[in-house]
Amino acid sequence: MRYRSYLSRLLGVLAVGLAVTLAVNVAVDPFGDVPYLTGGPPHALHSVADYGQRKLVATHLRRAEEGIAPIDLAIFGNSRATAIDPRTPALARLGRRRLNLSFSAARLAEMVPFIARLKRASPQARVLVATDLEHCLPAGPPDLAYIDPARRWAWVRDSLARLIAPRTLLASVRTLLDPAPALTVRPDGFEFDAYDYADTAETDRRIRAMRTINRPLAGLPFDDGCLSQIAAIREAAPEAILFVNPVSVWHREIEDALGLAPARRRWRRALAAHGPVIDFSCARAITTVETNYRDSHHYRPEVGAMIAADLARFVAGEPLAWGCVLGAAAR
Amino acid sequence: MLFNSYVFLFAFLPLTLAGFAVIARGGDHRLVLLWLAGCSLVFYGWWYPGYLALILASIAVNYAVGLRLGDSAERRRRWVLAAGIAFNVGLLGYFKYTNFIAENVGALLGTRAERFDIVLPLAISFFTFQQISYLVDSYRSGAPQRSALRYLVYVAFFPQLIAGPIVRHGVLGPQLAEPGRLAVRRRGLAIGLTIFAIGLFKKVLLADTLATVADPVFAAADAGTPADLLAAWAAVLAFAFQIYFDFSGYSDMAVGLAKMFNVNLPINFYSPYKATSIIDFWRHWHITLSSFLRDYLYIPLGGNRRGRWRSHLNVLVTMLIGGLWHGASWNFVIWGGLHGLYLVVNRGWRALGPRMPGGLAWGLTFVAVVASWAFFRAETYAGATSLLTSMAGLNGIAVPDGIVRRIDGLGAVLAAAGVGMPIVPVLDWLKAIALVALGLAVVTGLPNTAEIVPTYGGVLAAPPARPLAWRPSPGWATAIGAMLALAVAGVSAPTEFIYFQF
Repeated sequence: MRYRSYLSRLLGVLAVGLAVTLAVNVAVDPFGDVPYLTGGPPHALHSVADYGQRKLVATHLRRAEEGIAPIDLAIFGNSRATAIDPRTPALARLGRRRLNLSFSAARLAEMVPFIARLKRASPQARVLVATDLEHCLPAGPPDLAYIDPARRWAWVRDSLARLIAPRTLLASVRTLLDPAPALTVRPDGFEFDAYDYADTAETDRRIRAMRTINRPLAGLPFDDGCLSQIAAIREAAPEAILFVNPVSVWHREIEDALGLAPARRRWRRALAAHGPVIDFSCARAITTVETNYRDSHHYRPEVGAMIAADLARFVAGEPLAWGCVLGAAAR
Repeated sequence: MLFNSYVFLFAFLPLTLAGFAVIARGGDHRLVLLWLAGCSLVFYGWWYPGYLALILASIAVNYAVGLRLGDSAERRRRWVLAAGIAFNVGLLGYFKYTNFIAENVGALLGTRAERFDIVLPLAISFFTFQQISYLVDSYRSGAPQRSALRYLVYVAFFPQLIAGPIVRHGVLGPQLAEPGRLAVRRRGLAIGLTIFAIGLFKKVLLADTLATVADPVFAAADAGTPADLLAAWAAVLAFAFQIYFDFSGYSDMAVGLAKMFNVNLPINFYSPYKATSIIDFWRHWHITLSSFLRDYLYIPLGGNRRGRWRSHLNVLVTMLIGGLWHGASWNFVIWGGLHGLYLVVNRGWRALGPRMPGGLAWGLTFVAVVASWAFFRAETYAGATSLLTSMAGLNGIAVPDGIVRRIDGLGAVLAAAGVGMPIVPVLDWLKAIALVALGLAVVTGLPNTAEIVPTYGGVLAAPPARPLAWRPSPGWATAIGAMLALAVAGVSAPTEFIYFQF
């Protein structure tokens, strides 16, 4: 074979390989990059809960800003809050077009600009914000480049790179095989089994195990910056309803074992100082029933529906079935 | 600029190559060199243009010293050489070791040293060593490079500028001087692209994947959380393969890129993990650095000409300095010292005479090398010793709870044996083991790049690998094209090469 033919074939295979990868990824678009780049509607195929990434949130907000799809009710929060289905009938009382704009590992500092954009685009929109103790523990700085519209190039570059990546191709294949997955459970059963406590001895052993696989958190300073972020949320959306996600009692045990109880007490007091907050993490039967959780951190959609019902009651001024209202008395 | 970035792959390389081809076709050798020099400086300055002045100053000073070495009287040449080496060592010392020295002096005096705000210029370790080798060679031969442009390209030629190979002037200089040589040839392009594809594949798909196994365990060890036996071995082995694929991948890319411009660079790796002794290992690992240390440090120190004990001392000193060259940290010094000790023991064993069975020799060499990587990769001494303690089994052994529960009776047996059963994702655990096994299979079972593509004209001739010898066939074109497609597509989040930090 001549070198010229060799080079032609090699470069041809390269071009075809890249083109096929790009074509499949654009067609399936498992991470919702295409609507973000083109301004088109987000895919119906992928729920926010499964692909609730920042980019998709930005896509929805952009469509609201352009008047294509205004928003009546938006739920902001981290991966826990993705279990609240905005289609829950109880939330119908709060608005017609409802979206859950929660995304994994969301920080308050990331939510604030999103909420501000929403209120600018749809001033009538009602905002529900889920918060957690983790929001007030030290963490690295959030990457706000992906939120600031002025730095949209970072998102565009990221989306283009993702569309050509082999890992996106794998995700495309998975999406084609399972087009509308429910809240997923890893094949190794980790999500189900991790905190499947059988007895006290087992619990102790597992808490010890947690201590070995996590960096020790004891002694972590309370991040006061979160309080200014909560104030910023109140400023951007004065009528926003803040609520605390429920965590299982086993998660609470782990927090205690890690020495986080003082931080939690301080956090609750600080939250109460910023106006009424509905706390769903208070001990109730719901937080002790194992099957209400995917793991100790994440509650199931059934629990999400109960939270939604209580939030609607709160707005209507009705007595709550579950949540405790943190207010001046809790300070 | 990173080789594994879209800006390099889709903009810099095609433009540089196209411009080079057009200019070379015109036949003006000087213009070709100017183009290469200009592109190389753009490549270097892409990261931080401010340090272009530094590298240009370093090149100018060394070029001037080289000329003085050629023109000075015999008795003055030694002083000129000493001044040139002092300049290079001083430059490297200032940028790389100032804070390290200040910290240690502060520790000795019991005071807290203030850190100087010094950013380590990219590639300074490599272009400094390359220019020291040039000065010494010029001193020995008395024939320095007279052309400033050729000297500039010799140092700054972008394929080898950032992380080597450390090229001797005797290798690259004549190629740059040969009229008509610098041109795009189909053969060179085919071979270069093939070697480049292999290197990019190693970096993007092997090294970066193995890093996902090594990084969390090393980070945890540095933070004071010990790993269990299996996790420690998996992490250190993963790093051993990661650094090999990372650096040999970079070297392959450098060799392949140079070949596209019809320039032959020396190979830097030749299956080091197949070595059956530490001496053998250093003949096949970072070959251009180990030959630099041998020729410009070990031999000038006296080599083996002054008796056995002095020879051992020379080896130790050479390896300690070699370790320190990698970074301003005591961990690198320990790593170098460990290899120095290994070499001394190896030489002592050879002097005694008995031959070790091949498998045992390989195993011993491999474990010794792998253990030393703990110091190389860990950021703290405590992290490295913690991992070594774990590798010795002193921090217990654990099997994921998810596996134990799937095998009846295993939990009781393991509990009786004192084996822990932590809650860790089973798939991640199995993936780590599979990746390490894959890495081991590749480095020990497959031929290296120089064996696969022996015809590229590198300095170290390699016998062709059978049946995996490359030839310009449809099958090879398809395979390399597919590898390149996977690697290029995998570049979506470019990561730095480990040796960039040195």
